[in-house]
Amino acid sequence: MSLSRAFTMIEVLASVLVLMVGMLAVVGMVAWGIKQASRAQAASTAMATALTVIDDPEPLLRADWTSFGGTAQGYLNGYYVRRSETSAGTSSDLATNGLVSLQIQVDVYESLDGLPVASLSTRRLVRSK
Amino acid sequence: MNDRRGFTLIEILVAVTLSMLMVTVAWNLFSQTQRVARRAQARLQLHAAAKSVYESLRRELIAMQQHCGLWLESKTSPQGVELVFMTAAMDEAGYQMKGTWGNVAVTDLVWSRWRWDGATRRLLCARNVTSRSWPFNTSIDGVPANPSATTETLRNDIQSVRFWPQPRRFTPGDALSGLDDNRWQLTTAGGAAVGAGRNLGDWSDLQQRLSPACLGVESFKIELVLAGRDAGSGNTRTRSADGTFDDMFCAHGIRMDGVSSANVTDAPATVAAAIAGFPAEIGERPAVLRLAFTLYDQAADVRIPFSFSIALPGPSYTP
Repeated sequence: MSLSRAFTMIEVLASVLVLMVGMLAVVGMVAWGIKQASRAQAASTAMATALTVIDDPEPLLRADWTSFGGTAQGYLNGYYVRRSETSAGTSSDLATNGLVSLQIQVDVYESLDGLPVASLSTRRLVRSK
Repeated sequence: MNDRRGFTLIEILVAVTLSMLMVTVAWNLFSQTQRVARRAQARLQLHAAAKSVYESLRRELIAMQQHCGLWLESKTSPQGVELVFMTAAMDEAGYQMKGTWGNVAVTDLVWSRWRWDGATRRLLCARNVTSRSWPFNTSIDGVPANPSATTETLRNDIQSVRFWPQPRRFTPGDALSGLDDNRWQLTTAGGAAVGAGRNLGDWSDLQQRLSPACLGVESFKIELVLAGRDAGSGNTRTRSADGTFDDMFCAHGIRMDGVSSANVTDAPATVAAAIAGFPAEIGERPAVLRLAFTLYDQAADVRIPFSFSIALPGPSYTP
């Protein structure tokens, strides 16, 4: 008498389940890899975006862009960008020449509530208005 | 007795159903992943293309010296935007431009032309140093032709070029083709004019050398923020081009527009005195170039709008 027997239905179902979990894991890893690659590449335009905004607080496209006081923020090039200007002090020399010193900080995030991608800070002398 | 038996019909049906479910789920997962991957790759490519356009323009703009010209044109037929700038090559040390102020050897002029073609949705670019084959192979105003012209031998003693007149301002009706319309003045090395204004022929060079810099550019807009404010309102003044109207703008000189008697390396008082004589031209100097364009990947159906600003060399821009 042969002792060999066929798989039971439960065994087959269990193996199918394990196989599907494995497939899902593979697909998930591929998707994660794509997302990481996309994030890495996009970070390069994030720095360009930060440079853009540090030069110019009024870029051409500024959907949902809001300004209040010395702070402007909104979406630009797919990122959430925040730019703030604060006075970096003044001196009689500057005032005599009609100049003010500004500290400008730009932070670029993946999205509102997202991770920071790029950050720049600089100090500029500009003509007082 | 043989215990072995075949599958029952029910078991086969269940197995087939499960298999089909598995195949369907797997196929959906595969196609979705593929679609996500394709879109992600398209996004990567569009971001890379956008950064390339931004970096190229930024590199060229920040290299501009006081001795340069910048032309911006918006055309509706054929729809397009033109951005052309010209400057002088830097010396070997990278410290200042070649030639003496006001006189640049024609071989040291560097042109760059960017054109957005609305019909083909392409951004084209051409760069070159002024052709060495002209005018040295022809007789000009009594100066005998250089027999070695084609071997790029330059007569440094006579053939330099001065921007003429200074500043040159085009009116909105002027055609961009006027760039090569006798707008150049040959001078001696000392700066004395030789003959009439003439055509250096670079425009045709630029036309021929245009090659695609970026594809799938659905829209393209450039805005120049001028350094001078409106005298009445005090508002920022801008000039723009996006291919939806006809206009032409020309700015001569980025750092000290129209100044013909001072160099950036001169004493501040000399520069200030020279600038004081040209307040209007200084006001026309572009301070910031704003750039907005939409890139589209048709295969993946991904469309991304980009916007960049580039501060030009010179006094800072106060918004």
